[in-house]
Amino acid sequence: MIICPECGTENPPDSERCLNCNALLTERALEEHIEEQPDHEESLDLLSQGDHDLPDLLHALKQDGELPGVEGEQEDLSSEDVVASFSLSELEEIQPDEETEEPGESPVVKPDQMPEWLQRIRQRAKEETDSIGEITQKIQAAQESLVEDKSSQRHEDYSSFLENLGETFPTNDLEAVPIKEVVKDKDHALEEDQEPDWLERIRKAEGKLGENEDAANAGNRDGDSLLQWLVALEDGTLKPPTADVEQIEESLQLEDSTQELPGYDDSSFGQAATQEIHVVEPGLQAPPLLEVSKEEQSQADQLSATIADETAVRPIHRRRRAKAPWVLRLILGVILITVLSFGLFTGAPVKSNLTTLKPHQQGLLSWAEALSPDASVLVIFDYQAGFADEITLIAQPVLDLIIKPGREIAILTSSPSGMLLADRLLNEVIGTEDIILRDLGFVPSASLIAYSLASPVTSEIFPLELEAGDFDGVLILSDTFEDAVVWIEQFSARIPSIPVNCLVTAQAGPLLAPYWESGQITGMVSGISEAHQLEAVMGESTLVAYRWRAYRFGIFMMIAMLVIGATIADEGKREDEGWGGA
Amino acid sequence: MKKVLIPMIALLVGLVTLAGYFLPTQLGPTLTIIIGAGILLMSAAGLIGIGYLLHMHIMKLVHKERGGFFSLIVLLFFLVALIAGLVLPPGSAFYRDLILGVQIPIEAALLGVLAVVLLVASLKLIRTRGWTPLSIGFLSSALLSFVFDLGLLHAEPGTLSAELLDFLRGLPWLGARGIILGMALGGLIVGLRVLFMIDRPYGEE
Amino acid sequence: MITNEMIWGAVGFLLTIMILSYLIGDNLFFRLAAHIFIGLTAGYLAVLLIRHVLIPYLVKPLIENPGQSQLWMILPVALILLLLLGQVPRLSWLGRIPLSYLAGMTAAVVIGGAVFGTLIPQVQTVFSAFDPAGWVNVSGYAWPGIINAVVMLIGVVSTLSYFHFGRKLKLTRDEDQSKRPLIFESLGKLGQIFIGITLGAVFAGVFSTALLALINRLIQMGQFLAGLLGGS
Repeated sequence: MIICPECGTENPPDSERCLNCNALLTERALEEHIEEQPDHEESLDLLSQGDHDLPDLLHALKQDGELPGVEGEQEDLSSEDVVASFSLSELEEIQPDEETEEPGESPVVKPDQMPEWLQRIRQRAKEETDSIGEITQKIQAAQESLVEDKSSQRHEDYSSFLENLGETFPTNDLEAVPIKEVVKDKDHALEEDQEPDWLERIRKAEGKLGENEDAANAGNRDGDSLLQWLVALEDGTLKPPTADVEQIEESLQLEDSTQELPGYDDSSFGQAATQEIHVVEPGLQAPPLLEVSKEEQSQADQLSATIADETAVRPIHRRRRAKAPWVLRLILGVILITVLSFGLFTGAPVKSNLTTLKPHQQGLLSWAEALSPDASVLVIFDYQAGFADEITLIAQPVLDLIIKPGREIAILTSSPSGMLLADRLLNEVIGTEDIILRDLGFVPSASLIAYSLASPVTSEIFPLELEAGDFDGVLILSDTFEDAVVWIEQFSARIPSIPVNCLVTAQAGPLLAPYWESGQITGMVSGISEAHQLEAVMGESTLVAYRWRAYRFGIFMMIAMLVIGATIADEGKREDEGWGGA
Repeated sequence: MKKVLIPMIALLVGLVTLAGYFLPTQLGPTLTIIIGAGILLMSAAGLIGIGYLLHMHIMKLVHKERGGFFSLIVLLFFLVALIAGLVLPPGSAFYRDLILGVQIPIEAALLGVLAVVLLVASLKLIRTRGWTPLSIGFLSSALLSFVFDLGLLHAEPGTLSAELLDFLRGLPWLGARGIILGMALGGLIVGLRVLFMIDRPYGEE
Repeated sequence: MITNEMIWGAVGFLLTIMILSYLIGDNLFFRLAAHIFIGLTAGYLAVLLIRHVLIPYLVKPLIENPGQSQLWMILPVALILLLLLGQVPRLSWLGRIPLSYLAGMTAAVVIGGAVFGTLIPQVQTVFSAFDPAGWVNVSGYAWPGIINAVVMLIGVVSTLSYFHFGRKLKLTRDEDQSKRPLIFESLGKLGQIFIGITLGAVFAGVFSTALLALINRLIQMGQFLAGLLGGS
């Protein structure tokens, strides 16, 4: 097609003059040949609009009869003839490349007869070398910038997305293609300026399209793209779609890939290999579907059952532990020390009222009193330094009975501090100036030396120079049951005829009593209470009596703690913890 | 060879020692050698154990580990006691006061702390253990023992109350006999397991 | 005038305060006192073993009387050498020989003491409690002796029933918890009462001992303060 340079009318290729304005169709018009594009009409319309103004104006002038120098009837003249009559020569000057093939046919208009508007056109044409081309270039540049702006958007709008699809439809570089005219759905015969049906449905569902609103007039709205809509749906900023969304999703090929088995319903869960689970997300009425296998569902059920079991309310025994346990300990310690100090430093010594000794105490006394003047006694010091004061309180009355001038006292120790304690007890407390003292020393193992002592043969390696028959009795000073039992077992097993007596602390007394009952021990005194009785009976020392009041206060305090503890106990019976074991 | 030789030594020595209970006169000389060697061996083992203790504290100091200050204290007082004990004559009063002057206060004070801890424990006895036969027997026996300890309960000998008090006083001994019998049976089993090489406390390959 | 007693009294006072500070929790002073105790005791024990055991009974006989009469010293010397060589990592198996020697000897002594020193005498006592000759006591009544004998037997048997002496219970199921015969189970329940009674008496004895130790410490501290104030 040949475009008329004057009016922009499309003329057949073989025409020499414009059908509308009868302007000559020169080579320039041939170079402006464009392909037949419906979108081009828009830009062409823009051009043609302006170009159409001139023929209308000329037409108006023709009707008014103001066109001079135009031969022939003016009514029959085209706009081209009018223009050519006025400015054909000037046009030739403006368009020097153009050749007029028929110069003779155009009417000639004298300059003095030119209207004012034509003069202005001519003036502008003189001043601007290519006014028409400049206009075209400006329009093209504006459209190109518009295209660039659209493509720089983060979410391509529908039109640019469609423009990308329109790569198969080549466009004129100078003329932009109308956006809504680019896409052509082959399945659907879209008319000019009409959107696809599925897009129209989406927009209706989105609510951006009114009921009476025509999809063609919706235009290219900002943020109105399919991608934007899908993104908004994912973000949850979009309202839940209506029921029609399901149809839309189906059309968008979002159908579930699972196939429903015949007769399937919610009650028959577990029978199918897979199951559709509607994952409900907040804000959505139609949750997306999720495939879960039978094994996974059973595992999930087990997990939920375990969680329910773990979080179930159980009668748990909670131990109330004080945040600062040392506070109670400190308070009770201060009270105890205060009470003991009060008992120690106030009042006179308290003597025991009991004048009758217990059988095991009496047995010890009887043995001690029955010793001959030249008796030999083995005294075993087998206690730790911490119990020295208590052993001293217990042993002093008995040692006073035993250690007499002329008697031989053999000292043996199996505890590390025994030698020093024996030295302290015998030298400082009792005094051993006229006593034969045999220090047998220290032996690291009580059981081995007891076994060796009971042997009838003197040891060659460990010559203690002491045999079983060398002593008339054994006095064991011990702080624990285990240490005393070692000596008792060996002596009673190897030399049962030797009397064995024990002076032990209160903690060893209850467990050593059966040995007295069985006759393995002749006599025994254990603890301060029995020493208090012994002291009262023997009537010599007042060491225990001096401490008795404080001791009594301490015992009362312990009794009170036991009673209070039993009273405030709020724990129920506990199950037996099972069997004990040896 | 090692697996058989070493346990056989234990069995042989053990059997000879056991035989000494039945044949004291016949095995007397042998037993004195065996026992004497054992006592000397125990003393050497005790010294090796002290060496391990010192080695541990020295390594703490050398490697500048946490608690090195206390290791220095241990080593310092060890040297003081060792040097003073070897230099001073046996039976030195100063050495006796040095050792007992530290041991007696510390051990006695530790027992004092134990007394306070037992007070706190008695307050929480039933709350912790609950009302079980064991705890009821424990509580009642402790209370009764404290009452008897104070001498608050006494009766004329030969009266029914005296018999009752004696019976109550002797109740703990009934359980004590069972306990010591159980301990003796346990020791018997352990000793037999060692002799029969079932248990090997001396280590295995 | 500062006397020996005042010096050691001050030392005892200071150490007692450091140990009693444990009532407010573990602290530097308590640890310091404990480590002083450990070091001093270890040093004293080393002196004891060297001066009172090894030198008089091992070193001196070898030095003073070397000869045929001291042949039996070969055994302890060899055992001690093996024990020392056992500290070398490559020769650690040598150290097991003297340890097995000690283990065998100690086990035999324990067996002998348990059997002849406890089991036989105590069982004899239980049986002799049923001897009618021993029932009549000072008061002239026999029933206390009879009751005593019966209760003693029940107490011993029930207490022993409480123990199972390391028998491995295959507790694969809850039903296995009560696999023992019903009689032993019942006696075990009764034994708990007797054991509780005995342990209560032991608890009373332990507190009595600890209380007396605290009382004696307070006396010592009071005497020191009195001497300090009286002396100044």
